[in-house]
Amino acid sequence: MEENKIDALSFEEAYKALEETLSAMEKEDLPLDESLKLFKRGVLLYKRCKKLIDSASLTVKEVLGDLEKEMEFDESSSNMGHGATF
Amino acid sequence: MTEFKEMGVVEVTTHIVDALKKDSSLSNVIVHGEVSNFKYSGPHAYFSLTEKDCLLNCVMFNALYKLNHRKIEDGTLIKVYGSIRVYTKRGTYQFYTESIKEGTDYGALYRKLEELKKRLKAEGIFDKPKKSIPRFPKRIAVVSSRTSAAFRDVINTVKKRYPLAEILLFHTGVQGKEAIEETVRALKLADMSDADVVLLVRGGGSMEDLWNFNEEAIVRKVYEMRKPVITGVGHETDTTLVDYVADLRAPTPTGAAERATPELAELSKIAKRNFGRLLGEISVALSGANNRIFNLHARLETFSPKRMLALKMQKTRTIMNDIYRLVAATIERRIHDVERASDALRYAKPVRMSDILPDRLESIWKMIKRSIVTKVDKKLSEVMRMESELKLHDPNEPLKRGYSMVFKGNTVVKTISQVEINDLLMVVFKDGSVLSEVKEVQSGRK
Repeated sequence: MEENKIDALSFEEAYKALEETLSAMEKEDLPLDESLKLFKRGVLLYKRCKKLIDSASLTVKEVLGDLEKEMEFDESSSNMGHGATF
Repeated sequence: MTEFKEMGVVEVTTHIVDALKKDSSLSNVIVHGEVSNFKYSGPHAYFSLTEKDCLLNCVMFNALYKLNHRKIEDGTLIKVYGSIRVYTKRGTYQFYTESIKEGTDYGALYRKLEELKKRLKAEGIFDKPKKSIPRFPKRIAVVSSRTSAAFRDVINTVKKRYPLAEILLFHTGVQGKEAIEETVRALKLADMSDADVVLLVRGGGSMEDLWNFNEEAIVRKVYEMRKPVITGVGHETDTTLVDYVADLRAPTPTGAAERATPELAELSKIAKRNFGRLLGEISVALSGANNRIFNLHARLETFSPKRMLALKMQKTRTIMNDIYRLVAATIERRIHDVERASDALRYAKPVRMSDILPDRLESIWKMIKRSIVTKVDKKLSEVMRMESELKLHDPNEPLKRGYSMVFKGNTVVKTISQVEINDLLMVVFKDGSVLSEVKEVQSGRK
């Protein structure tokens, strides 16, 4: 359940949640089961961040009025026109 | 302490020359300004370019032929093409001019710009509070030309820094009067999109090239935007009016993209570090729990019957050891005694009777003598005692002390009952006797 939720998080959400989890863990006198729960969550959040970082690829779209068009951008060519590959 | 490095004039000049050569913004550039002090020296021309309080010394070799002997009047606005170089003999820098272009009346443009700036300022448009730029943009709107180097720079920068984002291009021409309307429309669309931030970018160019970004319609549109706007127009030194109304002014398109995005590599490092700290925390928590359990176990051990038993065993062992030690000590002492006795025996010598006999006889003799003397003494004292006893019984003794004795015939009168009237009694004294007749007898003592 928790895992599914985390897998749907954006990078920003996962990154911030990891920071929050860490500061929650740094509180003193946390019961062990609570620590373990937070740790598990932290691991999942870190994995999520890592996955997003590793799989990130820039998307570029051109907006033409109401239309959106995915661009392809060819880095080897300076003539981008409407098509650009990344 | 600061360390000073020593070098000669040539060395330091070489450093300066190299530094200027390396700086690409000082080589193959176009500089515009007002001409002053234009003069020829031989075939070469020397003049200065000025702008506000700044002055740039220029030299143009063989200008006489290049300019066809023409002199340029002071105050003329020109563009010079060339590079900054050091004149090492004089220790000065100069602009080495390759060609000259006389152009637009920049003075008029500047005056127009200043007038607009003043007006907008008076309106308070530049005092608009700045919106904050989101740290993690999901979508970045870019208002730029799709074929521009500026747009390419933005894409490359975002791709490198934060490829998680999506770029939405709102294409517009950026140069010429006809593009003004287009840019305003692109800005409007960008503001209506679901982007988190809008970049308004254009690469470097001349003052005229960048002029649209001083146009009132565009400046007002940027001012109205609901989304945060980052401008990146021209180069570091170029400032246009949109920069004053933007929420953030970046020096270049690349700079604008940098300010719009966090650096993923850095974030990745932080996330990794946070993960490391997470590991640290959990290991601390676990080892804490482990210690607590260990302590409980240790306390439990203290009360376990096993330990009690062990304690008793220990005590028993101690007692047993004491006993062993005692027995061993006793035995040892005995052995020691026996050894001493046997040593004594070993060193003992037999004694000859003849050596001791005279002594013995002597002592026996002494004993006999002593016993005889004792016996004689005893007899003697007995005799003496008997003599004194005899003396005590001598009847003459009391007479000597004044007593007298009375005889009737030969019998000693001891009691009055022996005496009768007319009896003849002999009274004996120590020195004689009297014969007397009894006239009266009285019994009882007087």
